[in-house]
Amino acid sequence: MFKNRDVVCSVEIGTSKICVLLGEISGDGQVEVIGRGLVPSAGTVVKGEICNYPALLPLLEKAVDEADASSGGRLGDCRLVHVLVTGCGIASQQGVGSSTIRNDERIVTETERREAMENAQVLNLAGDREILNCSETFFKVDGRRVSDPLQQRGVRLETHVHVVHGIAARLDVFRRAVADAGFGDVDTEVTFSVLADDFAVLTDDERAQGVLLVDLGAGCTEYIVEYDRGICASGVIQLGMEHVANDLSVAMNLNIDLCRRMLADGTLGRMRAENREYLEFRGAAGHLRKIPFSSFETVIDWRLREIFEIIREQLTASGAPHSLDAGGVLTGGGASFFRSEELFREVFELDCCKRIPADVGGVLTGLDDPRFTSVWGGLKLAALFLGEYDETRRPIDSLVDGLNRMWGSSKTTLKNIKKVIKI
Amino acid sequence: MEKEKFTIMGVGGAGCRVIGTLRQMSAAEKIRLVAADTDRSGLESSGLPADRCLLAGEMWRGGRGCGGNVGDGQIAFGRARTEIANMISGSSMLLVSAGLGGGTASGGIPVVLSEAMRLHIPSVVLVTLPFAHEGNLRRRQAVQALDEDIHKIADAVIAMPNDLLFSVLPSTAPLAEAFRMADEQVARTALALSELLCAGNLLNADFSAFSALLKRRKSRCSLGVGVSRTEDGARRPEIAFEEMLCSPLLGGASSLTEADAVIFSLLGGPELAVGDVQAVFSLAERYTRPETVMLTSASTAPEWKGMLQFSAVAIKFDRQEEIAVPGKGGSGGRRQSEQGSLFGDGAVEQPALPFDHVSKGIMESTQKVVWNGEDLDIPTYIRRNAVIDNGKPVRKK
Repeated sequence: MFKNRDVVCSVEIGTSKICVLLGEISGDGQVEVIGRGLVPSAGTVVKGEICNYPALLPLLEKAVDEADASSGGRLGDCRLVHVLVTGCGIASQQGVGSSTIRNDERIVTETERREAMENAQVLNLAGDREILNCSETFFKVDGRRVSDPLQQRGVRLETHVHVVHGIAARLDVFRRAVADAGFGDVDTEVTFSVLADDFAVLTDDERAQGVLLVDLGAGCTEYIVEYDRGICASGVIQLGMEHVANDLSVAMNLNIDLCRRMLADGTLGRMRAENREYLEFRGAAGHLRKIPFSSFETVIDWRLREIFEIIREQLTASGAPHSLDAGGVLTGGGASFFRSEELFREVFELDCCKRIPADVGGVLTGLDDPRFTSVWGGLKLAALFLGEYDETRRPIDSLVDGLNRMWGSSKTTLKNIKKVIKI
Repeated sequence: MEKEKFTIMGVGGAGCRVIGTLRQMSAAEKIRLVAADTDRSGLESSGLPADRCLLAGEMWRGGRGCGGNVGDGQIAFGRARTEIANMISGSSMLLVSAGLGGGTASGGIPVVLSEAMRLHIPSVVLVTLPFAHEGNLRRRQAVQALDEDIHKIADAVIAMPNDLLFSVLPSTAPLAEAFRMADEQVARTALALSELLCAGNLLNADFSAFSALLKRRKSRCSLGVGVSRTEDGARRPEIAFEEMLCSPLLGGASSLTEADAVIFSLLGGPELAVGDVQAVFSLAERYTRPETVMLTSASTAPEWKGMLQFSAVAIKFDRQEEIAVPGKGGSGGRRQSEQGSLFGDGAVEQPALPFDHVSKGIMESTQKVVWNGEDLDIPTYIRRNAVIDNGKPVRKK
């Protein structure tokens, strides 16, 4: 009898779009896209956060249905849904935890590693916050830095971690939305979206050399700095291309939808290539307005430059390393805009390149756009999470799961076993 | 800082005349001179080649000037942002010289400064204020442009009232001569400033110190320039100093003695001796109070062979207020309720009817995003006082 392959799902509820990807995990652990649902957010999400839940839910359900239909009804096999979040007061900090190696051989085992990791997460957070993600950056065994401590001999293990936390109430809205959209019985993981970007487009060499990744989205801009294969800083500012469109709309007295379209479809980039001096618009009263192209450039430059400058200030304040030899990587919907890369280079004084999800496997195409970096990274991470779930699964769990399925109730037992996910 | 990268831009009629005067000075050869005006005849007076001149709003005004309308000046320069950026790009510092009161300078300088700011070029503005007899309107326009626009964007501003000219000239002095003298004085001052900030191969006044002196506080500046030559003999430092004291724009020795800060700059040829420097600075020290902040610079340049120029910028601060820095809470100061974070989780506040409404577009009713006390939902160009031409016809004031 053929065994059905595992199916995982990645959901991004963004300011401009709601995207659902369904992926099937192949024998070698690679994930292939088998279904996609894409629906515009239609104003239900502002600055990365859900602001109109009743209106959002039908849209999310529609996106899930689309994904299910395009995958040929494989949604029922989904074992894990991965939700990508931003906004929500997300902040990050570096933590350190330690454990004493007590076994007779004085060799670091998984037990010590887990204990140090748990200690590192004891942070003095405000009561309304919860830890969202925690990733190991590096370890020290008796003060000696190692990238993997297992089987190292010593007395004391120190784990340095990067902890991302957010406001619990705001994050819960995302969990509830996904549960209400039909994933109530499926294991759910929530991740800060830029971690998914990182997983989607960065290479190991870049992570080792030092790289700044910026996801310029519609409502929020997220950033992450990787150095020596560890995350040094990450964060989000609730400014994005919507602010650019809004600035244009206010300055030029144009409809906001028109401004959004001009930014998204490359109109302005083409005008610049053609050296056009003026853009002509006909007003409501019928009169013709000639707006100099330089006015558009000025308004856009001011805003984009400000976004990058705030990130630079935050990075300086967080003590992120200055020598990022691999340069900068720009992704997200705003990366396609013609001025983004240029301004990135000017502000950060780093070389910059635009990245799209390049290694997408599967029959579905159309994901080769920087807008889909997060959701693709989310799918890859979901496959990784599922692998880790299975590693910790005992034979008895499989038996209980099987019985549960037989009885029509698929209450998961592993949901609370591993709250801490290592990326 | 390289002298070649220092750019002096003349804006408007008075600015172009200053550029014309500078062009004839051999010492200004290494400085990049550019001129911008809405009036074709003004640009011609600068005598610069066409590639160094910008006739703003040519298509629309036809090169006939602004007729004293500030709005027209703003629009004309706003439409020529790209050209302005091309003219000043690559400069390590920009000095804008103009006479306020008309339309071109009062409307155009903020545009030039915002472009300089965008390109990260430090800017110094050297402007003259209109004569009292030119009428209240021109004076009001000049003061308004200075206080509301220029002071907020420029890194340093030196404003000199033209009336100072008449206070030291006999009433029989010819008017044309008085204007020529004023232009020459401003040109020499611009040159002295460029030397003060850029050359400094002996003693260097730091630009940040200079900027800090002028940036945050309203100040009244007056300046004097004195030149002496080798033919003047051994007393040439004293002669240069005395000529500086008699300089019409300085307003007499009392300007120095009452100043809160003074910037002295000495410039000479390769033969400049230590004794000359000592002599002139010891004289200068006698005219300043112990609590006065003094910035000094001395430099030599081959083109100044046989000459000695001593210049002083006397600054008197306005005691009443410190100017709010743009982008740090706006002109109205920062409200407590605007303190918050980038996550928009600032304290809940009682909504108040804003006195000065700024459009936030679709961001009006969203959770406010605040950074360094600034409401980031307000379009950046509004917070940075940039003038944008949106193609709408301008209503005459």
